[in-house]
Amino acid sequence: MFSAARITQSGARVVPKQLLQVSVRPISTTQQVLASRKTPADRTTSTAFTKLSIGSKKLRTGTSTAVNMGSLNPDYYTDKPSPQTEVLSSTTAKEWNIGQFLEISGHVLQSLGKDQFPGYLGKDFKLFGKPALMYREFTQKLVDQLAKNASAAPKTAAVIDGPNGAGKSAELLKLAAVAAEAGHIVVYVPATIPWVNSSRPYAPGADDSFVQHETAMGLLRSIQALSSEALAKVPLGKAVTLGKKSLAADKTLSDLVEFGIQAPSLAHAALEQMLEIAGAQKAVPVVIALDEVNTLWSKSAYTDQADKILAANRLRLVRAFLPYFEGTKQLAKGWVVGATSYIETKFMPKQLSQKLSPPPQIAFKNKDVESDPGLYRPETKVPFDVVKLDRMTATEAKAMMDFYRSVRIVQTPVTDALVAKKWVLANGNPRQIFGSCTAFF
Amino acid sequence: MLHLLGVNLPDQKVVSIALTYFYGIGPVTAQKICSKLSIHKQCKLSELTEGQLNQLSGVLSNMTLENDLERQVKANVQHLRAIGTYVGKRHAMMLPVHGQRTRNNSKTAKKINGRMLRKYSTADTAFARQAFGMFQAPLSKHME
Repeated sequence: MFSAARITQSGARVVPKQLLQVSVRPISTTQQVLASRKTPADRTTSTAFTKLSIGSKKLRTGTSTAVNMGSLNPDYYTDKPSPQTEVLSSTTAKEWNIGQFLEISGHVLQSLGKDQFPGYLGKDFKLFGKPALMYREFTQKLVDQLAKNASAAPKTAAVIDGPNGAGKSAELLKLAAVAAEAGHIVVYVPATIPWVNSSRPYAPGADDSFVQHETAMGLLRSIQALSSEALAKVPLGKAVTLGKKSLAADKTLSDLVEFGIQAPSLAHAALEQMLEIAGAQKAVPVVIALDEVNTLWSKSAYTDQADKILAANRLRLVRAFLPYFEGTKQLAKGWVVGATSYIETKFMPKQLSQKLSPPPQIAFKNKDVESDPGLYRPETKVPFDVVKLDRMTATEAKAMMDFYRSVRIVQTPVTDALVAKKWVLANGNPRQIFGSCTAFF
Repeated sequence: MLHLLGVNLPDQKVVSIALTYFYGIGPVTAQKICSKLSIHKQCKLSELTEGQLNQLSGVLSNMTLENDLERQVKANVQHLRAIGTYVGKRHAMMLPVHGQRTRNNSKTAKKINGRMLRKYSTADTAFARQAFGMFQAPLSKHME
């Protein structure tokens, strides 16, 4: 300790000052100890990377069209332009608007609810920035037929059939929107697969059927939202008893629907009564538009109490609409239209798909063979009219791509050569054309 | 978490999956229970009403599950051992019961079989074999 000490001439031992400054460590208290400790590292979050938030941009290629424009860098992405579009109604649904994009009205959207658009349309509308669809020649044909059926309903229903992405759901949505704006009573179901895919509550009911009260209540709610004014114009005409409550004859269909919404256990009965009364009256035309209509003839994903798969026609909700498509029930005024869907092939019965697209059947020259009882020929008769929706015309494809250019989905100028290339490669399929335009998003 | 018949079931799970958390219920039985009570396939436990939960409790309480089932299985094995069957002896020797080979493999059987015959709980199976001499086979076979 004193090795650094010096001995002076007088012999005194001198210790440098710094050695004399003995640091006495004070007795540390608990607080001082805790304060002196370093805060432990937060090992719950990693600092090696920044986790992307849920609303970040997702890239998809091919024919899927999901693009989330939520968190884009504003230095590189400008606001999406919103071209002016008219609202689709009975006044704008005319021949001079063929090739134009028309917007679906707010009250139709409200009846659909949030994110309830059929098929891939919801994602397309997000990309467009507005719920707009192109008015096609096929749409004009449907609107013309709707106007004819407003005076006298046909005896058979119509089913729109075509390949995936042809625009069946879009056409049905446009038809429902035009009918609703024209003041018809519209029963529009954008998706019937949820009725049969065991995603909604169900319970055994009477007559060997199964009931889905919540689903029926939701359907009544959408009918009320879409056609409240039209329903209020139609009186019941007779006293209707549902459960313990009865509605007087002077009440309207709107009251009946409202009652069904307030009493979920009687929603099925209210829906059936509404369809019967609305179908029999001639004051206001009725349009029944069901998307994914093939589910009515399929097997459901529900099981009975013995764990056996239920056919869709065991569900009371399906039983309410099936007779209209099978021709056993008719509307006095209006139209029953359906659109098929091949997205979930589980709900497309093989026999129905054979009937919708029957294989070519050559007549036998040998009468003995033709009259053979063991000879199998697929059944091709259907109780409804099949309306084929195949490909869009080149003019429509050009109009569609011009719209995509206006909303910046297509970045390059839209020339005839580009349209021809897209149209030929996609075989006129709107979904495939859209997919090829968004392939590098 | 829903506590049902002594088992904690996660609320956010689909009912037919949550029911498999019971010892004695597998996917097939769970599906049959859901069909019997008309519970749809995508129904989560949190969506069940009180009435449905009561019905579910009623159905489950009529089944042999958990401790009751374990006791039953244990009793079955002990019975087989008691009456001197081949299967009982195989359980006792902690060897495969269903005719599997023992020249190789049979690790699982050596680890697991016979636990229903033990009156103590320990992981040291080699010690158990030697200490209690429960086996008919020559000791040389077990000398490792």
